[in-house]
Amino acid sequence: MADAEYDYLFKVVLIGDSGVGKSNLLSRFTRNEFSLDSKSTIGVEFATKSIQAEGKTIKAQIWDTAGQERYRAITSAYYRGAVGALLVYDLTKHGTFENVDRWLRELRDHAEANIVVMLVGNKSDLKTQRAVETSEAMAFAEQHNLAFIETSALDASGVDVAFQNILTEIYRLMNKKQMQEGSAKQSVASKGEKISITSGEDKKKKKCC
Amino acid sequence: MAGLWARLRGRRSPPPDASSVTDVFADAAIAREDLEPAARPPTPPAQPKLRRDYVASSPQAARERQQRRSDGEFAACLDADALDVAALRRLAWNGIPNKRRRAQVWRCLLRCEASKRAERREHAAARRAAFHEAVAAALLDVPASERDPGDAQMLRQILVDAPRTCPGSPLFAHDRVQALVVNVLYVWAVKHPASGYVQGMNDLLAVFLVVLVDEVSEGDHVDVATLSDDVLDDVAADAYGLLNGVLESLDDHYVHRQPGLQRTIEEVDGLLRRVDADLHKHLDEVGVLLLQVTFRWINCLLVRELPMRCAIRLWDTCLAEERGFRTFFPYVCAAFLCHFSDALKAKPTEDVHLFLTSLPTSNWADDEVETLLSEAYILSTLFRSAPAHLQHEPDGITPCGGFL
Repeated sequence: MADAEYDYLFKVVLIGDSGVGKSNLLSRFTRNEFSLDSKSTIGVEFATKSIQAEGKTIKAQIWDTAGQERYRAITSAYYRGAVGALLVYDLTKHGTFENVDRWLRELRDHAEANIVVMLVGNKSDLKTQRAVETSEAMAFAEQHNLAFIETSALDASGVDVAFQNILTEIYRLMNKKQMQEGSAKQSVASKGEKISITSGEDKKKKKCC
Repeated sequence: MAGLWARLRGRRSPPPDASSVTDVFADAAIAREDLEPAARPPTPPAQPKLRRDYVASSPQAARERQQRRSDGEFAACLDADALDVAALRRLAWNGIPNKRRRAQVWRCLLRCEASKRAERREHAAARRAAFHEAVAAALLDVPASERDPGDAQMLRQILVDAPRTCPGSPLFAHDRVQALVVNVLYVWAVKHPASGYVQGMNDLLAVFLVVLVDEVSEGDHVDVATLSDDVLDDVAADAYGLLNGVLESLDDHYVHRQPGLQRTIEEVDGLLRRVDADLHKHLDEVGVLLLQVTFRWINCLLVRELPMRCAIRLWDTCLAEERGFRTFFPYVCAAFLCHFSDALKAKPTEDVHLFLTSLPTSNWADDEVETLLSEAYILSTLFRSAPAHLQHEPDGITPCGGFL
């Protein structure tokens, strides 16, 4: 993956119940690929992609986690340092939407307090099988202060927008925070807040929120 | 120790195997016509004659001859009135050459078969009947409304994963095989509530199904549609028995927080420190945890990392070892990691993760697996009887980064 230089590196996690399409959202976004019969994710998988937002190059380091409960002890470790989370449910299976609450608790327990969370209703191409109405999900998102979007990894609709939006939102928040800290302490980004676990590629990084 | 590993890597010696002599001659590439009586000059009577079975026309021919002889040894071992498991383990360590015989060997190694030949048929019938009774009791006779909520959740997970087992394989695409996968996994899960079904168990089951279908298939092409219900029922029961045999030896791999898996990761970490300190240091420096590297390897016993036929060959040896997935597998993982040492050491963090996501093993064949097993064997002879070698150094670093 020969990414050019980037201005920011953001770590994002994909979470949600098993079988909602997390891995396909990732492969659609990073490689423009989709597979109807992909294998289940065991533990955690990984991919990266760079995008442009507000004139800056943002590299997303995306961790795709296994959905099954048994793996929580391992997968929750990956929340550390994540600045964004795509919380995915399958809009044809209401149960996966009902579990969104549990995933939010999971994030509250293990992730950074100011992590940006986007609720993603996937499989919007299965129009006749819809079990979660857009209005229902939107109300839930508003109530919990989450961004919301519906996607289809299969026909690609909404996928790029979802990632673009969450990365841009993270960038804006980080900018705002830096400006506040800057005016308060007359300093640039605080060193204590590292946003990714990488160390091998730090040279390429110019800034880090 | 890196130098030691470099020296070890050059060696290739699994347990003593009489047939390896044939390979030596095969490597010498003696052309058949050079050795045919008609083509040779008259041989002085005093000169010793080449033994016929040492004469190899090509490595392939030599291998086939060796396999035929080896298969005869398996047949003799399995046909004995009382099974000599130790002898069978020695044979199976080097691989089971006849894929139609493999299922029976694996059943014997995992103690699914009666050890006395005269009792095997009756024993198998009872075992299979018990499985089908368990399917009825757990699944078929239980209305969905009366299912325990935890069990219902497990069944949902299995139903999500069954179609994702070996996607693209015609065998697993078949409805009857899909149903079989669900039945076996669900019955195992409800009988083992401490772990229940854990994703990846379907990958393990897939290996057993391929081996069992090999046993009942006529030609190389497997058409499930031609298999009778009775045959497929036996396959299901045997798959359950084999899966249970492996999972019982890994009883704390799949329970809450997966302590057995964590222990295996620690063992791999200890080995890596000693045999490839440079790689260990590199992974440390780029912030890649052994947990991240080996989690799937250990959870799915390398089925996801290798082509199916290679995984099967690997399992021949792991099953031949007593509780091999617990005792020998850490050495296999360490050897596997060291195999990619040079590539990994050249990569920064992200590239290490990406490389590990799709290891370059798609064109692996038995030769690569056997080299890997030889390296694992050497490690095990060096470290197995000296467990202190694997203890952590007092630096407080744990391979999982204290996550688990």
